[in-house]
This record gives sequence, C-alpha cells and structure tokens, in this order.
Amino acid sequence: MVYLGLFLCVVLNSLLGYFLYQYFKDHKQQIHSNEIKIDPVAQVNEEMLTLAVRALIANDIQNKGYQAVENRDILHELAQIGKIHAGDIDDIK
Amino acid sequence: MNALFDAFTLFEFDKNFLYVNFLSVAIAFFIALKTNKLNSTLLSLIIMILFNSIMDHYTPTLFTAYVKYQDEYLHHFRLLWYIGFALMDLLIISLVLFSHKIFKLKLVFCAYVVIVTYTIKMQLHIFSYLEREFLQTDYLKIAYTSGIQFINMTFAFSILSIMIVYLLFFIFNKYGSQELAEKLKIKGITWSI
Repeated sequence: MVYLGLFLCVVLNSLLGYFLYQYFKDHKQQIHSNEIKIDPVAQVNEEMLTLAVRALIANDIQNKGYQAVENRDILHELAQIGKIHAGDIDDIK
Repeated sequence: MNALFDAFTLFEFDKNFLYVNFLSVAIAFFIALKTNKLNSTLLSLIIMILFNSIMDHYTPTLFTAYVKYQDEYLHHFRLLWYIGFALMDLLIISLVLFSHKIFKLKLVFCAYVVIVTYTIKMQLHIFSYLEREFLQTDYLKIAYTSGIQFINMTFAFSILSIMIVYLLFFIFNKYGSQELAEKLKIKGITWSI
C-alpha cells in the first residue's frame, strides 16, 4: 500500500507538471506568434465591438481607401490582425 | 498573523469559506448575465466550488471510517486521505485549463489564483504524505493543518474583494458617467473577468 502511494505521488506530480508544461508551451507560442503582439482585446462584448468597428470606419479604413466595406469584412479583418477573438464573429452573425 | 487567524476562526470562517466563495460566484454570474457572455472567473470558480463541495462531503465520511478502523487499515486511510485530495486538486487544475481551451477563453487573474492555490495545496498533500509514510515523522503537521485552512480563507477573501472591485468597475462603466469611464480608459484601467 505504501509503495502504491509512492507510485501515485509520482504519477500525480508528473501529470501536474505535464499540464502546466502544456499550458506554458501554448502561452509561449502565442506570445511569439503575431496574436498577442498587437495589444489584443480577447474578450470584447458587442458594444465594445461596434464601437471599435465605428472607430475603424471613421479613421483608418476610409483613409486607406476602402469604401463601403461591410461590417462583416471589417470583423474578419479585425480577427486577422488579432484585435478580436475568432469566436466573437460567430456571436454577432 | 495569529490574531488574524483567531479572528477568522472565531466566526468559523474556516468552515464556511465555501459560502464566501458563493458570493463571488454570484457576482461573476451577474456580470455574465449582464454582458451575455461566459467569463473566465465564473468558469474557474464554478469548477472549484463543485470539487470543494465534494471534498466537504468526502472529509467527514472518511474521518468517521478512520476512527473505526484505524488499527487495521491505517495505510489505506492515509492513501485515501492524502492522495484523494491531491487527485481532486489535480482535477480542478486540469479542468480549469481544459475548459478555457474548449470555450476559447483567456485565463484571467482569478483563474491563475485558482491554479496556483491548488498547485500549492496538492504539493502540501503529497509532501506530507511522503513524510508520514516514509520518514515516519510529523514535522509538516503544522504547515499541513493550518496551511490548508489559511489558504482556503485567504483565497476566499481575496477573490471576494477582487470581485467586488470588478463589480464596481462594471457598474461604473455601464451606468456611470461617460466622462469618468473615458478617463479610466485613458489611464489604462479596464475590467475583464
């Protein structure tokens, strides 16, 4: 019974190490990729999103020469830059 | 530190810390309802409270059995006690990490606190088990008995106070004046739970 306990201790601790290692590995990858470099707003609600879209229409996108862009396209563009989460687009559709 | 500990135990907060956690869950639930979005704090606190209530029922059952049969099955009980709790702690940590991955949520402060707290608790269980079984000593007893209570209490209170600050920010942003909200935004103070 004592050796079973020792075995379980080793198993549990290595599992904990595995989970934490996996998490921090993913986190490191995210930091190195472009996802997090541009100050991400990962959890935006609908109001914030519409505000962001309006601001983009007003400032950047019109300056760049995009005319009459649909909101959905802007959302996709935002998702590509990394400003919003991909899951948020589905919520608004 | 002792005075703080006595003040907590005087009102039996060490036994009722779960109810304090329910308050923080209620605040997280309120914000989730208002924003119509599942948040990281709510998810991690619900997982934690679920397993904590299981542990609350597991403790007295095991303890009454231990008092009856401790002469025959001492090592079995030690295994069930320490490793059982360590296993549940590991389950909480892994479920928090997996659920955030599934729901595509970002880990926020509260989720980090849950992970760190349960990592410390799990290590306490495992090390005190190893000490009692292999070295036959009891040096970690104080760290074990008062440490776990202290972690539970400080966790409950710190999370509750953080949640109240979040709630104030939420109300401020939603119902407060536009000017103040913009001032806060310029200073970089945002709320995300």
